[in-house]
Amino acid sequence: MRISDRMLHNTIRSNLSANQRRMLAVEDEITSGKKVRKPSDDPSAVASILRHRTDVAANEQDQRTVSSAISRLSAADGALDTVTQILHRATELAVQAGSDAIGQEHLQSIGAEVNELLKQVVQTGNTRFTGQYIFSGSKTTTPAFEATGDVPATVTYNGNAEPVTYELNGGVAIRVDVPGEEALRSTIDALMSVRDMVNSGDSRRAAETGLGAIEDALDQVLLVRGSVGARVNMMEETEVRLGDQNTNLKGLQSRLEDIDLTDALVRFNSARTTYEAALGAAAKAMLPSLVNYLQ
Amino acid sequence: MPLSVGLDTAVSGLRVAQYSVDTAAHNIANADTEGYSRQEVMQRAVPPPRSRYGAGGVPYQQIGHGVEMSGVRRLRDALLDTQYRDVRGRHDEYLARSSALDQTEVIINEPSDQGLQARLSEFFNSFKDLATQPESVAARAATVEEGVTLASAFNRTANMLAYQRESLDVSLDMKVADINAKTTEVASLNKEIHRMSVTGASANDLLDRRDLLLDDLAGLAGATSKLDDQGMVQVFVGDDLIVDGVDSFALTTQPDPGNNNLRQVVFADGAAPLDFTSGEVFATIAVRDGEVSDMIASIDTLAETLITAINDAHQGGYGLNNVTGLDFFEGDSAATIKVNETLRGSPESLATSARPDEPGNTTVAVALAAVGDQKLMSGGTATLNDAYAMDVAKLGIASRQSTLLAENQVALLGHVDNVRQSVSGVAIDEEMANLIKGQKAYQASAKAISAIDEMLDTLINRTLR
Amino acid sequence: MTTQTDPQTAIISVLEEEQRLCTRLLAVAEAQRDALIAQDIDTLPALVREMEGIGGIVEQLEAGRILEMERFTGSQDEAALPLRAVLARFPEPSRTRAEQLRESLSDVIQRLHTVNVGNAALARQALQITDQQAHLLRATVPVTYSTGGAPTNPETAGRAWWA
Repeated sequence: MRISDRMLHNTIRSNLSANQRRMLAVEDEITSGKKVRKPSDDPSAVASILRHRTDVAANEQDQRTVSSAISRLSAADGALDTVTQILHRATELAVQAGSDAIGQEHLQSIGAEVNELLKQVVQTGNTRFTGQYIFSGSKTTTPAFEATGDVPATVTYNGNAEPVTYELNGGVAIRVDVPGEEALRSTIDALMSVRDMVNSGDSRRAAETGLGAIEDALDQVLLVRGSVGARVNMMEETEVRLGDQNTNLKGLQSRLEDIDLTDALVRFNSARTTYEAALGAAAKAMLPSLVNYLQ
Repeated sequence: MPLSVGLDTAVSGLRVAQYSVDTAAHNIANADTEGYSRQEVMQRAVPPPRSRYGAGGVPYQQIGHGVEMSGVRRLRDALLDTQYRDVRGRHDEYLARSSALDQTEVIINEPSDQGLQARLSEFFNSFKDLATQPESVAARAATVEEGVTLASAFNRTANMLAYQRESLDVSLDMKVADINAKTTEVASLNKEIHRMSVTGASANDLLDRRDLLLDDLAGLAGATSKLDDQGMVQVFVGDDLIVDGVDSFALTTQPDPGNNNLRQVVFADGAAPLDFTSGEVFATIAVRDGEVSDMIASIDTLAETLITAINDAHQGGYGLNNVTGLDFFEGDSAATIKVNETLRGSPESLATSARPDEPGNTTVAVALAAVGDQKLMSGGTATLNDAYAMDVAKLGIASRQSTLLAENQVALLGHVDNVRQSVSGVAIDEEMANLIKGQKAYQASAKAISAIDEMLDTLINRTLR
Repeated sequence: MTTQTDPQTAIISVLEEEQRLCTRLLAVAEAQRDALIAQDIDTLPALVREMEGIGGIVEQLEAGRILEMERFTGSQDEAALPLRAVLARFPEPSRTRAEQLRESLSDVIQRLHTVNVGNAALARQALQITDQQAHLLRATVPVTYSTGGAPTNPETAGRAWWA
């Protein structure tokens, strides 16, 4: 086959073009750090990559949700701890009230303190966490307990018993509510009855029945705290699991998406060397030196 | 008298020599011209007259009597041309496809943090986030904003895809105009070439130009050609003639009501449609009606499904202000989807609770988030994200395939062109080697002639006087 | 050339040989003319060699003839005598023969001279045409590279040759 100059030029040109394209493609990989910059770079991988990104984002959202749940439940637990301390104090006071040696003045001050404790319990029952009333059930914008007056005669529960659930990926539901009525009614009633009995002078009965009521209330609060604690434990385990999952997912994502820099650099150098060699060869092959003869 | 024979010889020789120079100059000047076929002056010696002896007793056959041209031959192989055009049609087709699909990939912009995948993911996750603090107006506003961002992403993608489809459509007008210009020229060349061949003149340059146009028509329209018995060319698209000897048949575009009023290529006279099977026009139509239209439909289905499912879950829910029965999204397609304005002005109206007066109830917020996990697409087998991922992968496959095919065709075309060139190309090297050989010969001759001249001078003027 | 032969015979031999050679040379010159017209550069070198060869021999023959003429006239001064005058002093029948030879040699050489002058013009023209063609060829070379293959312009040197 005779080789014409146009043929030679065409072949050289298309080879150089292909070499250059290869070099630029690797360069693009390196600067972006990503193996797959558009779907056609690796169509079989791109669907996995997209699904994977969704999974990673969902996992990270779940991590935030779990963290929120733990914080909210911890706030509830903290509140219930306060109530427990209050009940312990109430126990002390009730015992004092029951002693034969108690004086009238002392009794009065006990009554006042128990009143304060009652109001504190109401206040604690109205704890807010990021703007939500955590003991109101699902009526989270409504304070759980209402007590009017300085010495409230009744404490009304204005919340409900509906659950507040957070959900994780896969339909896993977490209850984060602590229904105030269930948790604190016995405490409130116990304190109120002790106060009333003390104030009416019935200090012996206040001590006898009061202590019993306070003990029942403590049991109840403990029970509720136990359930909260159990949920917190579960959440903390979930948190760890989600963290591990996140590490795995991110590792997998990196393997899918990110370039191996060393490998890419080697390929780039190879492509560039090839390209430069082709340029050199092209220059030499180019034109006949015969034409020089006439210069 | 030998002298007069000498003169005639010299004159005929000069005429041929001049023509040779012109041809060689022509060849050289066109060395780089696309489509140029090498021309060769075919020379033959004039046969000697019948008497066998000339002056000085030297037999005639040792002396030349001049040359005459027997025509200028055009070096070209018709079979190679057909092969070339076949490959060229596919080459231009795959390049056009590859280029268009590249553009579509840029529009889709995946994988990325700004693509629909990321936006959908963020949107659903924001409802999960909201479920942990539905009482917060700020959190609600943020979720509404995610909806706005998602709707914008749908709008933008839909608009850009529609724009690409329209561009592809409009480009058909330009390509058809190009085809028409070329077929008109082919017909006029047919006429001119025929006229010249009847008078015996050589039409090599015109033939080259016509062949070049046929190459281009193969690339544009997948056109094939045939020489008729008059030496004129007929050009076909499929079975339809677009050039028949001195006549060319113009094409035009018209809207096709059966295809969204997108353009159809038809004959200007009679509006019969053409059946393209390769070439640039074919590729343009195929991508317009195929991958791009498919992607537009997919994105629309995605948007419609999302709108319906979100609204279904949202309407039954209650906002912080106990408002119920609202739509989250308005619109019915990817281009028209937008967030209900009411929600933008009043994020408290965003429904998160299943019952009034229970702001802590997160049932609806959770249900809205769950739309992302429901298998609403592909006949109940895929989630929104899954379906989208598959559409993106499909586009990637089509794009990669056409890039690879295009690369193959480029290499193949280069090879076929080279084979074609080896028959008709001009080799500068060969020409130059000839010139140098000639120079040496003439210079040596001139030197010898001069030496003899001196000798003869001496003999005539000194010796023999 | 031996001294045994007498000068007349020697001179006549030279003239005969010269006539034979110049007739041959005429044929070569005519062939050269045809080759120049037809641009037949394959044949030209052989013809040139023959011309040079014959020219060389004729030179030698001429040198020999002058020696013989000196011998005949007996002195170098008389070598300045034209050939005609010398031949007139030959005895018969040599004289007639020599005269005839001189006539026909003169004839051949005249004709040869005519063809040769024509050939000089043809060779000049052929060289001109060749130079024209080479000039055109030179013009087709792409601008960024010199004909030796090296880039001419340092700025374009880094770019691809078609850029």
